Amino acid sequence: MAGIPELRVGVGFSDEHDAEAAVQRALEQALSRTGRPALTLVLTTEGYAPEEVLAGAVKMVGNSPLVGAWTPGIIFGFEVCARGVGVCTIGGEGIEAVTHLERTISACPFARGEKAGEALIDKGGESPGTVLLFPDGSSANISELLRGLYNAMGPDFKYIGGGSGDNLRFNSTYQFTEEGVGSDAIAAAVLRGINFNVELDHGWSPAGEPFTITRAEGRRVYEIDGVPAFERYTALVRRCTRNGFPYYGMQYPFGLPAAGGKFIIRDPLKAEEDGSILFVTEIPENTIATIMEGDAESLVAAAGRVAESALNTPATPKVLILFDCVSRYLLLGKDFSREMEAIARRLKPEIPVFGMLSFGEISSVSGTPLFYNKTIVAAAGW
Amino acid sequence: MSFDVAELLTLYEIVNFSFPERYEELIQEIAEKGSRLLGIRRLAIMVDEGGRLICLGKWGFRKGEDFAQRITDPGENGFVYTMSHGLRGLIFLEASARISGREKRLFNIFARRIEDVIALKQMESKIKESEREKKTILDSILELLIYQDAEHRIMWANTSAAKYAGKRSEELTGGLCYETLYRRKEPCAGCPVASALKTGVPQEGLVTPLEGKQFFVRGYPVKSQKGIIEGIVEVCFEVTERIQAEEAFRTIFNSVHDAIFIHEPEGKILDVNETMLRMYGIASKEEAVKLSIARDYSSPDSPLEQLREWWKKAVEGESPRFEWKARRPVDGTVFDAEVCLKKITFAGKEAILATVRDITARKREEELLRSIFGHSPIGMYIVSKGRFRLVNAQFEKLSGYSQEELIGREALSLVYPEDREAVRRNAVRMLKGMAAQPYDFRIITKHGEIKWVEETVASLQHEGQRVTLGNIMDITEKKRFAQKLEYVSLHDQLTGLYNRAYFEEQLKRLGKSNKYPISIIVADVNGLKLVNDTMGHQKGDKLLIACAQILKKALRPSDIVARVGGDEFVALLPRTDEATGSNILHQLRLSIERYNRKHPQLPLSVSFGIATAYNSEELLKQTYRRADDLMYREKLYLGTSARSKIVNALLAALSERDHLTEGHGRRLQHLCRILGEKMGLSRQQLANLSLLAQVHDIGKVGIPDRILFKKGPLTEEEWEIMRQHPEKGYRIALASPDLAGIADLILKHHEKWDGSGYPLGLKGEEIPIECRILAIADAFDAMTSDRPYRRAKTVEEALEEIRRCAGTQFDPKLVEIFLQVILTKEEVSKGQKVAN
Repeated sequence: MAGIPELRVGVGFSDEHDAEAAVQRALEQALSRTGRPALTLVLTTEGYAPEEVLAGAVKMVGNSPLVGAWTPGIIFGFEVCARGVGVCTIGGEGIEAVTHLERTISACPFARGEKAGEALIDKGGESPGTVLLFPDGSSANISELLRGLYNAMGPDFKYIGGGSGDNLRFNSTYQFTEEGVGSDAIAAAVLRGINFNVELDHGWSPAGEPFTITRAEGRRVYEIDGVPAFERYTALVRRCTRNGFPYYGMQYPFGLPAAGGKFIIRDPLKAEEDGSILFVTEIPENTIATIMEGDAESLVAAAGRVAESALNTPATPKVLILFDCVSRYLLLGKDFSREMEAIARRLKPEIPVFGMLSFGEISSVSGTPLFYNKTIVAAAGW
Repeated sequence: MSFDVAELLTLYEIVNFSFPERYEELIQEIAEKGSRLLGIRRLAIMVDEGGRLICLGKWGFRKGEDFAQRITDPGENGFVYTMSHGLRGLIFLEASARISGREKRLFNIFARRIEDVIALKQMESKIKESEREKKTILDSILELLIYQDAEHRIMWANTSAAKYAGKRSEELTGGLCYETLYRRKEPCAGCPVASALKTGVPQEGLVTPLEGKQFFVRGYPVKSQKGIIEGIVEVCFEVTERIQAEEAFRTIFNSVHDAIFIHEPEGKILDVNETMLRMYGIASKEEAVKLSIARDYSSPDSPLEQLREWWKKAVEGESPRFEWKARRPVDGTVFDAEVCLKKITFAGKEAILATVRDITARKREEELLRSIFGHSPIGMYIVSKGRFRLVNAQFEKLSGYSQEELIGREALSLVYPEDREAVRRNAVRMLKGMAAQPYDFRIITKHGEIKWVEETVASLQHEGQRVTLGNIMDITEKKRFAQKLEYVSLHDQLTGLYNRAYFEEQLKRLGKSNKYPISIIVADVNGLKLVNDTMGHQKGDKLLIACAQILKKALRPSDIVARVGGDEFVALLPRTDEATGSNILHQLRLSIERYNRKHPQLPLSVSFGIATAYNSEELLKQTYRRADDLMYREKLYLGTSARSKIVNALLAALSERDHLTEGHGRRLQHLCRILGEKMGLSRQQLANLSLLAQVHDIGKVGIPDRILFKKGPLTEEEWEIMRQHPEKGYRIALASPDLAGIADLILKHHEKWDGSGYPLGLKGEEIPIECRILAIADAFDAMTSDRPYRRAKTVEEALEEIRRCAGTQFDPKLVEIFLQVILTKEEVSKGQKVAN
């Protein structure tokens, strides 16, 4: 079809111990499909020094743009690999990409976001494209960072991405581009010449009365409806105890109302001694929220819906990229394979699937890029 | 109409704002809620500020993107909400797709809520602004401002207070006032804050919280509506310096040497200093202030009208200074004072400050100076702007002008025109301190006389102006004397010609000049010494003057004639070659001849030498020597003949003067010859004796007529002169070759046999025979001849006298022979015939 660029996507994976060797093995597989890529997407789990991975990759792809991050698990061929290096190369005529690594994003996230957005515009221009984002999901106020980025880039772009993390050890995590490796950073790329059909869902439903987050600061919620957060939470989720909080928190997250009658999920992480609750992601003060509930069925069903909608593209998609929340993986446990199957069922076998377990998911399906939890984002490229 | 839970929650949340502190945070919150709850992808908030829309915040617009355009043309997915019907501004919201009616309503709710928040924020800003203004005002006050409670606990303090305490304002809050500000352990003694608390009315006073530090403190109670005291506002400022300054002022006030009065503008005395009490001899201030300046402190002779005028000027802001006759009220004594009036502010009111200085001593000094000025033997004047302002009597005398004529006259007009520029220059140099020596110049007096004056000038302050004080002395006499001295130092007194010093100077000068060829004539007066010795210096001087006149007359004005020795003259003839020089010399000789024809009794004989130099100084000196040598050669050549001429002239003069003595000479010659022959003298001796008889008294040419021809006996002094003639005759004779042989005889012709003669006092035969013969013959002839003062003696009487003197005055042997000779009558008569 005239006007539609010839898009080539290759994926590869290796769990060789040596970082350089692993990335190179993976790249060998991917590049055999694409040739010299316009953009290389590199995901790596813990156990691989990001500098070595990057050095190995650069040896293969030269100075072509590269973006990537650490993740607790790589989704490759409907499998979640907790150790290894996965790559996805995107190439073809008319495919262009630029990358940017913005560091120390936890200090003034809005301004850092704006700076990153301006850098991407400077490097690649204002023409529409898709922005791939890999922020450090454990540190900054990512919502603010995204608002800053969006303020600089505007509504002409699609935004997708996932927070990078380290398998819940919360030590440190890495983000990188061909420019270098960062921590407390955001690795971003703008991709042009490829269309993405993005879908998002989580399968969680409101399960109780609404309440107001009356005092919160960043990821910490101090008071709900004017009483200490944990006290209010246990009143709402009566079975929950302080010791049992990690489990109940995962089972009963918060839902914040969002456009179109949807909810954005906020995952509680820890009940603090002072009665406050630490969340995976920030919650603004004066937000109305409700307790959400879900089960394996609803979650898997949501994944199926996401894949189906995403893959409903005008042309046959060349790749499906997934950002699947790590808490879904943990919560579903052995049922997680069902989620993968639900997706696989809707996918032609020749379409490569590449994804990550994420610490928060990014999508602009509602108009602007928002930061989600406990969600699966699927983007079908065509 | 039904709502699902999510929608209800959305609705609930869009009106729920956290009301953040800063506008940036509000925009963040709006963006967060708008994007999450309403899917808003862009927004802008514009507020009206004085008719202009100012962007309060925007989101989702790329850098440089024209959002104003977007607001103007919102399209299907744009929503514009006008705040207060556009009066407050507008809110622009943009959805991702076309806005449905439902969304529009939600947007409207959202926007209205935003409007409320903004209105609240604006109100809050205004309140904050006004609070800030109030704080700024309170902070700008230099006084320490402290709001405290009943326990002196600070509730608020301004910046001045904080600065004084060395802390930040907030740090002061809660601290105890006395502890925080002054580091005291208990409240300050007599603190007005405490009494304000007690009394409930404002209090003020001085407080010394720390040693050496004084504060003025005011305490204002702040009451609630019910009248309960809620706190005290303390206003305080340090007055240590002010109090010290006041003390210092008091000290100065009392220790100055001037008496000080402080009056009300109407005249009443408010205060006086201690000097005033001393100066006026008043015991206390209380007493002093009761009295009146016009009535009690002024002499009745002082013009009070004038005082009123000055007072008026002082009240109007001027500072008049004047002299006044002040009066001591105690004893009525009057003293001279200088008074200065000045308007001041005293204790918050207008006052007149009068400083009174006792100028009695100054007046006395002024009087003295005036007297010195008036009586100074030096001409003194004061000049300002080039014109005389003041002159003293001596200046009037010196210039011949009266004071009235001089005042206002241009000072330089008195100066001799040629000297004016130099006077101006010298005066300026002296005024600038570049010269210290007096300078002299000429002035023209009123009577047209030119006087030399010597002047010094000095710059001084006179009646508030810079003026020049000049001192001049009449040095006309001094100047004349100096000129004379100069003349004398270069001229020969006798002849008026230049002297040797001048000649030598000129010789040097001419030697270096280009006035070659130069001829030098050396002239030497012959026989001057002879004339001096015999006829006296007057005659010699006359001869020299004659010579000088001849030289001066014969030579040209450009020639320089000098008397370089007693009888020696030199003439320097510039630009004169040998031939011209010789010509001039010839003229000189002719002039001398002419002179001698006119003055045969004392002819002028001059030896000359001439030489010419053609170049170089050395040669000129040599030339002078050569001319000198030539002159000597001529002198030698002329030698005796020149002197003979003089001797002859002298003899002529002698005989002319004394016609009697001439006959006497001849008779004497005769008698001597007879006696000589009798005594068997040789021919030479007889010739000498004959000559001696004629010229033995040649020395008398130098004796003044009044002695020589005196009628009556001579005084001892006259005798002294008389007795000099043998020696003078001796010298004259030596000068003449004809007489030199008898010089010795002339010298001894007044010796006596017994040694009582003169000049040598020879005895007996020590006296030459010729002289002994002459003595007898001379005495005989004298006695037998008439004299103006006596009649002649008879021969017998004469012989008797001679006989009587034999052995004393005369040689007795010779007397014997003489008597024999004389007694031969024939001889006598023969002799008488000869005489007749």
